[in-house]
Amino acid sequence: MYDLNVPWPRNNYEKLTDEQVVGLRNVIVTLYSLKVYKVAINFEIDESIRLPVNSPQEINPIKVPEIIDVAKFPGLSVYTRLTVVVNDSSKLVSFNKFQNYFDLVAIKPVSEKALQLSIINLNIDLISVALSSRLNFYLKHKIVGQAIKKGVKFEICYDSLISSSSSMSRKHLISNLIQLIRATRSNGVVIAGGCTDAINVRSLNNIVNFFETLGLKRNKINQFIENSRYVLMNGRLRINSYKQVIALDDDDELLDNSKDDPMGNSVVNGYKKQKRKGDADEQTVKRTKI
Amino acid sequence: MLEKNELERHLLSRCFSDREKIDELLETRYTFTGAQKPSLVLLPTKTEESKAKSLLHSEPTYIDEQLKKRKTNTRLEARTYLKTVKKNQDSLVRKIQEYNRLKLKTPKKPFPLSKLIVKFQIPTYEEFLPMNRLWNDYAQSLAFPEIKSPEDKLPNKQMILARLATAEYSGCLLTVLDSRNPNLLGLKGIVVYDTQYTFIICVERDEDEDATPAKQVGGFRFVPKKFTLFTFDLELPNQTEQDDKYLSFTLIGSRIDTRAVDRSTKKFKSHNVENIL
Repeated sequence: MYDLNVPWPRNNYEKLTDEQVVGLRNVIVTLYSLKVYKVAINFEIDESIRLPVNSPQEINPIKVPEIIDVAKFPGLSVYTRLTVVVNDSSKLVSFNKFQNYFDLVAIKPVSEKALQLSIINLNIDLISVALSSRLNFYLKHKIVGQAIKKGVKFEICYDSLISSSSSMSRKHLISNLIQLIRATRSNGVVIAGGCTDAINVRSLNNIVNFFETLGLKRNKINQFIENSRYVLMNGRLRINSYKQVIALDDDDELLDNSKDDPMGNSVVNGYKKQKRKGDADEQTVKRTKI
Repeated sequence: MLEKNELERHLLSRCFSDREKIDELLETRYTFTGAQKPSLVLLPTKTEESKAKSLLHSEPTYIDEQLKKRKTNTRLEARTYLKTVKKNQDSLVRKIQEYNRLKLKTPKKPFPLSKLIVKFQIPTYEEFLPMNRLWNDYAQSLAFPEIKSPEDKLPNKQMILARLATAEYSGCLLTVLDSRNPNLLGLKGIVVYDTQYTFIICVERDEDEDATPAKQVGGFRFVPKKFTLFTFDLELPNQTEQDDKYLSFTLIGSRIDTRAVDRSTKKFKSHNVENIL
């Protein structure tokens, strides 16, 4: 299982308090206990915030080892994700510069124009439409289909449905959801969490149940969850491959990020493997798929 | 060298069987004192009397030696070679299957496999090992040309990958990492030829008697690139004995479905990842 949206508690480059770190850790651990093994921490910023381009190690504030010790949870891998709220996509000139520092890059368009332009111009993995408030534009199938053809998926977060207290936002969410599913023709949608609190995390069965009440078919819902894999693969291949032709390392899912340089430099040191002595056949161990 | 008056000679040779007659005719054509005939005398060639042929009769096709020679080229030769190898492999596999099906009262003699492999001229993995060694040197010098001593820093990740993306892969030792076809998983061999949609690899023979006949025979395998991931290892250059390290790479088959020649100049682009696997 995947969850591509575990929100980073801050929307700017300030440091987290201890309380926030614990809260974030709790969400990830709860997800892990629900068998969600691939988790992406989502750092959401406004386009007006300037990124520290001059000091590369500070571009990505999410330092995974400081939050959770991945080695203690077998099978868990934590990815980092950047979401930029886009109002005027012409401001995003430096967008390509920081793509290599995050596993996933997403946008949150505010207007129709921003959506259209960022689909055409930017190299992104995911589009997150603000579903819990009233959308001030109409999602056109033509534009949305363009994104899906490129392999860019649309994200649905179930958090605001559970946590929101006002009935208004719930109403907006459901109507927007139906709009999105109509515009995408039930293709290229990703279901993610977006839970800031561990109590709102839901298991797969619950998610499936809820979307069934909205009138979606069960196989479509499973496809939505499976789509997360393609989003992750797309993001990882952008960093770890040359134009999706040849990638470093021999991971058959193309999703492994444990060997990357934590500073975000594209060096290959982590990928070096020691050859065992007197055991030339070590490499010839047959790989079998589980 | 062209013979003198070759064209005329060729035309006349259709009408006159003996050479002297032709010489004489040409002689008279090009002298000042002779007849100086402006035209060539072409006699009708003798045709067989047309008999009533049966409906099923077909003329033997006349193959010009020249034409045959012109049509042979390296590509076609390679093609026929690969076809014959495949045919031989299949027939040897069938032989083993037939032998396994035999039920004799006396204990069976062991199948003379090694003898038959020579007889059927099935290519062996060992024959291609020198090619693999050559490729390793080539790939090292291509990927890390800057490194002269072990202390030198390795080039940037994207740089290595960009260089290897346009590399030539015949000679590389590839392993199938993942594929939509589960039978291909774990297949390992040296690339013999890199076609547009397949890698032709030579696999090692399995000496084990319980292995499937195809594995016992070895030889060439035609692995489609589409929906397949390949992996290969590349040793780092100038390593000391103790510090012998290598890098692994994954080739994404669905993205390299071009011929090696075209790949060197191709501009790659990222696409929708759903058709990778």
